[in-house]
Amino acid sequence: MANIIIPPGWRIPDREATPESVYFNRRAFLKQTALGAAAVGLGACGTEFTPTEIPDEPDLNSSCNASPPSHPLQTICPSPTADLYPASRNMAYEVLGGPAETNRIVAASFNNYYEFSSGGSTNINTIWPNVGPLQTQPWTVEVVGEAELTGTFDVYDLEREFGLEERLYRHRCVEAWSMVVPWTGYPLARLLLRGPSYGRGAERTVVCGNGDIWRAIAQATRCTMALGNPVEVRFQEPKGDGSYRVYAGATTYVLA
Amino acid sequence: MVRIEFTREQPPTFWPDVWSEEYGFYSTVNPAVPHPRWTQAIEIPLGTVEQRVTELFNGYGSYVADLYDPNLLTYIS
Repeated sequence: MANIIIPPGWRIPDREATPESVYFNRRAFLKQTALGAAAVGLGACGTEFTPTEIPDEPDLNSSCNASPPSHPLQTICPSPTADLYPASRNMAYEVLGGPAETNRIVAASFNNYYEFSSGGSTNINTIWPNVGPLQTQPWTVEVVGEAELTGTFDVYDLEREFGLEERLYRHRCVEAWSMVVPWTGYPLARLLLRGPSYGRGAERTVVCGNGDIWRAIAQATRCTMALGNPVEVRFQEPKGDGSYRVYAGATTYVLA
Repeated sequence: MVRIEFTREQPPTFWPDVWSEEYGFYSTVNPAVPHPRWTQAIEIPLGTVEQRVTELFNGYGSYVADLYDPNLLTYIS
């Protein structure tokens, strides 16, 4: 059956919406940044690998260190926490009535930047061979600033400490394409509250912004819910120093 | 991501810093605010030719709506 697209009344051609010089301003900017520099660098390396077609599944006999990689799903070597994957899916984040999960190969090989196309290639989505092998080990994250616990942490240690869950997430780009892809990780709240390593019942300072108390309570509640354990949440009048105490289960949160 | 810095004030972020005339903070979540080059009312899921209606907050309103200033949500540029 033919797919007839009826443009909405408000749609106008791009050339009428924005002067071309303005349209290209953002692209020109990109060329001047690291993104652009990376693209130029790749081009200068003379990588001419252009797959004519993508195999359905990765070749399990091919090394994850192969360069170029043999498949869009084989551009990163398994992490030290590979045994934690696939994590069980948190069904609270299911897409009800939403679009179907994006094809994995499409998601893994899609490229939004035509600047990354090179030579005579007409398909900008052939850029994926140039990403591999991407080195993701070792990988540490430095935590600094207004935090109770600062320092440098190994991201894989954090994964083991906090545990992993899978959620199906929707993404929508301003350039009008969207995708639905699984995400595996842990709630940021676990890192912010440093999870079970602090021990339950401990009093913690949670900097949740300078908004009014209702916003702070809403944020504290969300943090608590994000930890995955439904608990009774109670609130107490402000202390002399202006902070509020929120009791969630056995844990007390001090909202500064 | 290799560094997390906690600050008391929200720092300027990448796109608004370098190209403040571009679409605002609600960039991917407000189908009611048009963009000069791409529709924000509908979206095309990757790998398909389907057109879907874009939801406010991309459908995650129950999680994030209270983080936004309600006065800005009805703003039409």
